[in-house]
Amino acid sequence: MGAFDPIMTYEKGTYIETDTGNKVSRKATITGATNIILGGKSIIQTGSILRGDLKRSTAGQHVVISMGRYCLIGEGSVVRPPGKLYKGAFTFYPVRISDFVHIGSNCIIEAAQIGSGVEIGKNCIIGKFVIVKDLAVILPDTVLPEGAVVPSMSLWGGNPGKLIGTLPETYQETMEKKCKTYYQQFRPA
Amino acid sequence: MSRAAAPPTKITSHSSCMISQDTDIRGDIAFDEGTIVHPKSSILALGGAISFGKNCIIEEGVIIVNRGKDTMKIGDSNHFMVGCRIESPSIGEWNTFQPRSTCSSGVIISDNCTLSAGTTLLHSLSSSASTSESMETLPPCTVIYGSNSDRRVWDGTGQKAGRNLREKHLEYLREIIPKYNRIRPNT
Repeated sequence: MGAFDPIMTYEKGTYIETDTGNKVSRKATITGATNIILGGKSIIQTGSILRGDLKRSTAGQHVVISMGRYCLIGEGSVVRPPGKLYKGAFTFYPVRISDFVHIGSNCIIEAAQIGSGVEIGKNCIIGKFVIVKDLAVILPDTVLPEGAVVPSMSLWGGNPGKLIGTLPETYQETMEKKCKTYYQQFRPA
Repeated sequence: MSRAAAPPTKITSHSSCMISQDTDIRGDIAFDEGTIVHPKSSILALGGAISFGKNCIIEEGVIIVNRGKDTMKIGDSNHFMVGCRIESPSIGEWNTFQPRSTCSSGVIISDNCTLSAGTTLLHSLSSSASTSESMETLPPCTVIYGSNSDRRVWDGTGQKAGRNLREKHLEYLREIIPKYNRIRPNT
């Protein structure tokens, strides 16, 4: 993805742009918006679902979904916190997504943590409590089972997801550039 | 494409059900005690009715369709996870349908079965050709797994813990869902 790529346009008014530069589709379903933090310059596309209402069982304010800068949640993707029993009571755990994370269209994300510079292809299913470390690529149509850990600089694919290869050392710059360009190309018509 | 007049929507639900407002529910549908329907799910009784048992969980993006003429019976304590698609005419108890699993209309599901993430359950062609026309019943404790949707049998370990988790999950959802979502008024 470079500076000469065609721009992706959306009809003005279909996305809400916040002060910090987040672009959120009006047709995205966001429940419990008070429990969701967007870092800025992130894009949430049409038809995606963010479940901020599924919070921890203890009293008080909790962040349910936190996202860094230059993130993308593709069309029709679902981000929901994972839940399990803790000391005999059921509770949900927060989803932490770092900077420069691209999530393709129609993914189901129930991960506990997604590191920076991670790219998740379309139609992926990321199981409960999965940890994806910084700079990993998950190919389209991958299914990662519950509790999987994806190490840094690795390439994963298949059902069930397996380690396929490694990434070049320059990948961090590549991914950061890609996310920044995507954000700049994605603008109203 | 125009369909012959779809049956009018009629929802019968127990007072302890929680059915989100933001759902697509069509046709004659009955919910028994304690069933929870998350927002953005679709339950479509295009032909016959659909009846749910007690304590089912239906998450977002789930599509449950009944195109047949008979009532689609879904038993107690089933968990339909994100994005699964169900057309099976009959489902037993304590089944788990993991994210984006698909179940065709030619299979009847018994009890304690699991359809893993991303699998598709079709009528198995390995059975003799003469019976391939009729319905197939999935035996209890069957697990459908992997990219080829293979079958194996679960030995039942951790069943008690699994059921306990399901019950606690429901209990917690009952507490939390009405705080952030609009619930359909009881009819």
